[in-house]
Amino acid sequence: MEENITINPDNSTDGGEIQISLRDVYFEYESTDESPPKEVLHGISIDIKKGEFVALLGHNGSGKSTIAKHMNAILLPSGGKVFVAGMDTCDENLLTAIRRTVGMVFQNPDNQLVATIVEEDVAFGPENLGVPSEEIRKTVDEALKAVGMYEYRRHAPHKLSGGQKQRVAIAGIIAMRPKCIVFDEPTAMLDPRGRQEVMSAIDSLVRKLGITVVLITHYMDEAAKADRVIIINDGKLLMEGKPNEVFSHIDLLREHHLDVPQATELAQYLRSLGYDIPDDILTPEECAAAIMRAKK
Amino acid sequence: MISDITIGQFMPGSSFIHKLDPRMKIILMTAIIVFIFVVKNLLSLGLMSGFVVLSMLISRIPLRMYFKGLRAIWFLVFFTATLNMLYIKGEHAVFQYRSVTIYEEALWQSGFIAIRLVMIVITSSMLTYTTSPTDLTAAIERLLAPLKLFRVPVHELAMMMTIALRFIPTLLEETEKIMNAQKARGADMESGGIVKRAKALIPILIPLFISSFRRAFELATAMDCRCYTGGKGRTRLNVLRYRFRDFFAFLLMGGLCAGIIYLNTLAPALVR
Amino acid sequence: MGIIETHNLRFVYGKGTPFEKVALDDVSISIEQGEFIGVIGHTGSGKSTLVQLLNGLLRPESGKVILQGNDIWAKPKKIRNVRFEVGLVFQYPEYQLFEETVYKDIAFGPTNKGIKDKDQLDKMIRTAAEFAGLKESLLEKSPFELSGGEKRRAAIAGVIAMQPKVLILDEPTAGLDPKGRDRILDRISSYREKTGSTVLLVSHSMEDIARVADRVLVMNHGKVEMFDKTKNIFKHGERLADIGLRVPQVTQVFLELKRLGADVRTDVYTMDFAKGVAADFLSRKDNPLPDIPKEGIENATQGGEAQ
Repeated sequence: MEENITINPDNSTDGGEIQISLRDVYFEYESTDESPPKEVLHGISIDIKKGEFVALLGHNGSGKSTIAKHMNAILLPSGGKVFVAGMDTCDENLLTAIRRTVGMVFQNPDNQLVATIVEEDVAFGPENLGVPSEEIRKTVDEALKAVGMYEYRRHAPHKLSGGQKQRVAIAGIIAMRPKCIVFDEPTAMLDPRGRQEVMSAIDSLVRKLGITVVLITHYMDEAAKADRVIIINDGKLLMEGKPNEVFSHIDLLREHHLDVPQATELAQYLRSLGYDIPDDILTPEECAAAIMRAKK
Repeated sequence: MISDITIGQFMPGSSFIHKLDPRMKIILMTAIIVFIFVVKNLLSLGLMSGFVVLSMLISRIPLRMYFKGLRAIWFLVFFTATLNMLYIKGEHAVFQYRSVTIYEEALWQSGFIAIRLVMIVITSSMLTYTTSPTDLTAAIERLLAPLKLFRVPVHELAMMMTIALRFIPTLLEETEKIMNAQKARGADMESGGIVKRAKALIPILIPLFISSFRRAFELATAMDCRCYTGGKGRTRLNVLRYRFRDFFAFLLMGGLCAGIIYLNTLAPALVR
Repeated sequence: MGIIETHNLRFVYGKGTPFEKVALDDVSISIEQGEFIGVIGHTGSGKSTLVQLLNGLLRPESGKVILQGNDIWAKPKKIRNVRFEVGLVFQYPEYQLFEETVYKDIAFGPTNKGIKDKDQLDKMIRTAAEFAGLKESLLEKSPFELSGGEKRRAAIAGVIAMQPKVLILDEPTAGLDPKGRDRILDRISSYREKTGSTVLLVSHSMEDIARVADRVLVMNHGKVEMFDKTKNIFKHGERLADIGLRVPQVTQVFLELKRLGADVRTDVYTMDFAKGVAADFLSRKDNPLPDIPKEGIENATQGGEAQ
């Protein structure tokens, strides 16, 4: 056990600008008697930089969740290497250090909450890390405020809405003061209101707390908010770039059963008709403004 | 609705009893239950009942909540009392009909037993009404800590209890959803004999088991991600501390116990 | 007379407890045979309560549900029969699968309905599987071996197999990726076309509803907020946004254009129609404001509806 690790992430060694690095990662699920080993990742290389907001897209079975699980050593690569802040995820001695550097939020908020009271759930991580009680209290309050759930600290999780539960789950991770949080389809089970709550919580993590975020999602409007979009297909990197660059390849996205933001599609169509519309439209507001400009 | 059922329903409040340390509450409750059996005559019974009633009032839990808790065991109380009445032999018969004879001693005894049962239920309801499940679990974990010496996995047991408490409402809700889904496919759960009804449970139990396993698996991964490695080196958000009021309550309890023992000697015992 | 109607339907949860809540109040709607109805509303708007009242899982406090001219609660003991006529697919229906094989699981509904003839049962199961887009080879597999999308379709087949007159689906695309979602929506549309059944689709996704529904029922705070043809509903984009609903992104583009002062229509909700309207707007070179011949717009409407 690393007794000497403190809660302040800045004290631990920082391997430079790159926070998570997947180097030529291969992964296959172990074979059973009947089925041959199923290869899921075929040589993936991704670097996530400090403070970056990266969205990972791809249809079900593309391998994107498998990639996410490599980022905090839930899964270990069958080939290649994964480094988290310079630490090799295959090194068992570093497991706790890796998991407190990269936190993870999953799809179903119900199955992540451990305690019967919100604040005690948020405290679960710091308690596991052996943080002194007075400091846990401070950390928990801060984490709950960061996701706007402070008023609910004494509530029972099962009485909260989906979006609220998911924000509590996020607070539980923030309380461990990670440098990076990986979100595995955090909004897939939520209604539009819950999706919006969670997305704005994620947004403030990146913009206010400077936490690196990797977001796995099906929703293009969520991916559009990222600094960088990576598209995974059949366990390989299909495309990578700024959201507007990636979404301009409408046909390629369609071919891989991915949605394109409707505003982008409309703008592209008008552009193809010869109107003077920029090629980096992502939101309805941008699209409307561009149409107005083209009109003049 | 099924999900309205709550286990050990906690009713938040700020009474003296609410504020007691949960460990002390467990100790006191155990002492009360033990001394309910020490009580032998009307004098000590009066003292004990007075103490319990006073505690009920101090707890500021609506009295009807206590009666609600009793409703479930009413039958048990009645049943044991009747049995006792019929089987206990004595010297003064008060009622005789054919082979059934009821003795005065039997009446006293069954009355006593009924009152004891009622008081036990009231005392334990008071504990669950005034203590949150988390506090209760934490207290049990602390109180049982010495058992770790005998390799009893105290922390793990407490963790299991917490998780069970956390997931009971979730699983009840899920059961209701699955029941509705199967009813929507025409499942008939309201008619037929025992065998038919038992069979009708299969379409509910199998999905429930499968989803529980899935939840357990996902929860385990999530706990791993939050660096859970068992009880070693863990700290707590809320640290339990005995305060002045806990010692006060403890002394009061000591006085009560002494009083009961003393009163027991003043009059003849009515129960064995 | 509609195939299914409600008259002043009212439902209260937790009646007589401190948690009493009116979930549905004075809801009167009428749905015609063969219609495709989209039902939207945010969580707690009463839409889930409404669908459970329609198939008799819940009993209204007051008001009536009329199925093919008969009050479904006229004979409370026979309420189970209503569930075969009004098939309800719950949210995340894959969690209701329980049999050893997909085939047996699909057979659960029809068997409960009392179908004893083996051939007839077999035909019902296979037809339903086909509607749901399940390959023959999947029928003998355990439902727990299927992929997420396949499981969901197997569960939908289990309801379709009862051959209900009205099929209600509560959020059938929730949590699926775009591929799985498109597949399910396509399957439901073709099921409706081939059988002529009435379909109610409850969804949070305006894009999904805009794609498939003839008419849209908008629920808000337990009441009917709007119930109208799809294109008329999306004219009220601002109102929808007010009650916490998100209009499709294309509609948002046109609402924004209008806000910026452009003279455009805002009842645009499908991509193809949007392309036409936007191109039309940009090609109107000289007069950015009024003076556009009304016929032009009407024609555009026709074009849009043909999509």
